[in-house]
Amino acid sequence: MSETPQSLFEAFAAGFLRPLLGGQRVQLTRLLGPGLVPHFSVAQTADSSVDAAIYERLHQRASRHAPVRALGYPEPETRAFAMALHDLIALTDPMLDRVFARGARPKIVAFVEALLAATGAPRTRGEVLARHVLCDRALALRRRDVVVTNWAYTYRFFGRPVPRNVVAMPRLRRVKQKAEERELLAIFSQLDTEEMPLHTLLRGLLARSPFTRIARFSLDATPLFDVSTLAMLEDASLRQGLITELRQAHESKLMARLGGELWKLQLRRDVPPRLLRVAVVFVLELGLRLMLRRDPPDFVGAPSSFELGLALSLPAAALQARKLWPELALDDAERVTTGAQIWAAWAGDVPLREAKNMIAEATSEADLERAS
Amino acid sequence: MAPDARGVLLGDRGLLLFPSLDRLVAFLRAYAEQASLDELLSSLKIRQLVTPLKTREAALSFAAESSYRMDKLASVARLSGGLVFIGTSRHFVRYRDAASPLGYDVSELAQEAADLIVYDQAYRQSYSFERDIDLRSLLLRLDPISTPANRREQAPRLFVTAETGVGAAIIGYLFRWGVDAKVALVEWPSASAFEDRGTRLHVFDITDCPQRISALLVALPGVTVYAPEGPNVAVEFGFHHPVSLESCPSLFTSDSLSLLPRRGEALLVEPMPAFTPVESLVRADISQQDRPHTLRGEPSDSALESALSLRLAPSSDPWRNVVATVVRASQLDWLARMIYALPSDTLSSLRIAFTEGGDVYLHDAGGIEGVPLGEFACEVAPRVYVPAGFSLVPAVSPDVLLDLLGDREDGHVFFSHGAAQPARIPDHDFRPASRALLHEISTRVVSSAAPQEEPELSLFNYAEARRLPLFGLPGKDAPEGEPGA
Repeated sequence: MSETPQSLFEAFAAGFLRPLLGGQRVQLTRLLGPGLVPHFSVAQTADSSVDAAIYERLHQRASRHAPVRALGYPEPETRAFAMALHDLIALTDPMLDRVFARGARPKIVAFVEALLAATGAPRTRGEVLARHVLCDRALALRRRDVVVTNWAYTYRFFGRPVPRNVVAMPRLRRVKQKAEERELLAIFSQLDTEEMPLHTLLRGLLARSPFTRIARFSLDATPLFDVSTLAMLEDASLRQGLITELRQAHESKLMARLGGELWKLQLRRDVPPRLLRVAVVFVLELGLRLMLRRDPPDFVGAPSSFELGLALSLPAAALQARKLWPELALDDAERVTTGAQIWAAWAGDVPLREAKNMIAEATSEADLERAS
Repeated sequence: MAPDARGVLLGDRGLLLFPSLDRLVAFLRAYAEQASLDELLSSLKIRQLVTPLKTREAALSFAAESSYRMDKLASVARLSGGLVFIGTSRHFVRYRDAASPLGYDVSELAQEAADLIVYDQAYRQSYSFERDIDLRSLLLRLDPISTPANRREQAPRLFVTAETGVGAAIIGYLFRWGVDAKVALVEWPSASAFEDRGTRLHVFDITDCPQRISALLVALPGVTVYAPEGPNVAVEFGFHHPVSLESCPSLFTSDSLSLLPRRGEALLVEPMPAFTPVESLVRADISQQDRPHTLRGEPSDSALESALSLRLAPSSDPWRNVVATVVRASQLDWLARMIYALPSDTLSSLRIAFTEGGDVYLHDAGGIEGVPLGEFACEVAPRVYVPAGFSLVPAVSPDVLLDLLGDREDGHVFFSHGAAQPARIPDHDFRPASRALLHEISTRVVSSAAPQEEPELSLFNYAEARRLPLFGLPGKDAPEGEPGA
């Protein structure tokens, strides 16, 4: 029986989206071509409870990061984003590495690229969060690989259930099973080739989900601060949500990366001061949040670098310049004042001076803009 | 037919012809709003007419005294869909209009055998009288119209009909609250041969009825409240008659009373029965004891050593300040059931005290009416209560009474029938009923909708393996105009 766009959508919503957000086993459907985007943009499932469950879970998970009143789901570009995610996972199917199926791989890569092209930058807080939730859940998926051996043969079932007849009469046929669960990101690393550029496609996905891109900064080595991420960081709620999300990250790697990104951003002369100011505020607030933790990091054993020093000098620089300094409760102000001095002492004079220059550049221009 | 002073052709009578009875009613409604129907009543006749082709129409005729009256009636009648004629005897010709300001006449009278012939420019129509319609009976047959709640006003005088079962209770109730009311018992013969007895109702005539009492009466089953719309006619409260009855008071004579319920037939009390004040109907206790002999007192030198004690005596005075009730231990189950049915405002103002003997004292400073249980007590002095229907004898003043109860402190003193000493309940023992009666509520923790723990990382399965994964796949090609096509 040939599939119709609607039957594919039903399978995609009930088999992929709902379990992905609900934490159940995800069942991929047939490949989703870019020609399905117009239909998927407006389609609804015949079982309305599926759409309701997807929306509810999406809203629940999005609300953990930032207050969001109403999500844009079903929003056409978010759906195209989810379709690209689906096809990217489907691309790792080992059964595509067969004689007649192998030719489909470049076409699936083209599918993902076309779907990503149909997905623009997020425009609202709801879109940012919806994409992050989808992307974050998908990157956490795992594949169960089972190898079944009997007295004569060996069968491999990678990401597929083991048929009952294969494991029937286990004693007689001396059936043995060996199962292993592999993370999707590990599979990407293993299968990434020039013909199948999984990492490139993944970076394309992350570029459409700025929240995920910074939250999973280790997945993407390209500059983190661009127009879409800085536009997202301008939203104070999203900024705070992202800072909360980053609390699990390794502090010295995180701060070093962000310090480096700040430095790169400042060196680019085409960046408006308003966007520089957003990036500085983000790194500054992240630093303050780290200081206010129950066990604030001391970076004593961290490898010394200019980038890390620049990020750690920002609190002290903001404190001395009396600019960009947020309003804090008295107890918190006392703690961060002490912490800023300790971090600045650890960083040294050069990063502190550059941090002051950066704050002066970001704020003076902003003040001028405001005055005009 | 002759012209009047203005030159307008007039006959003895004016005739308004309506295609149906409801149009005629519409005319009456409209006319009664701006003029008095009473002016027309002396010469008014309403008839149902029938044409030779058996079509029925309604006609209203009256004395055409002047062209001013005719003009006024004509304008309203035309607005209501009627035709206006003027004439004498059985011949009527079209009344003047804009096309002919002085009126119309006919050159030759028809000789047809008919009760009524009207002449218009384009036609001539003869009618026979079918029946006369009495205006009063017509008005009493009309259903009252609901009055919007924001336009309802408390009438200074109300008529109330009550079934005989509740009539006696209402008499006592009105008497207790000192309402100026009179009552009569009215009986109508049975309308059907299958009824063994006629209809009997108590009819109350209440003046200056407090709003709370009228609201109570309106809500009471078996009781209907009427608000007067004229001297001897009243319409059910919350409704008004479609025709302004105040414009025709002479229809309702003083020896009858017409009560119009919102649905059903009007109640006609005729002749008017004798209304008796409710005070005279309240049951009075008659002492069977002989009148004591008159004693002649003589001065005595000996000091008066015997002290008198206060006693309770039955009293026929209206109950006043009924603010407490005493619920005996045997009635506690009833009290418990009733507490669930009490409205929130009653429960919030109710204070309760439990005593050692199991009796429960309930107190509500605003009136204990909300708790129809137990022995009611009236407050005769601050925090001194006697059973309702009794009074203290000797009839000492409240100040003296308080002096006599010197050890009262801050307590509430309840006299009760048959007890040697009054009971004193300390004020702090009275607690709000809503707090004293309810157990503390233990709560159970319910987690919010969002699960706290992160669900386990999900596994995924690929789709069914195919030899040609893209064969027959819909949507392989990008839509036209889309990027990536």
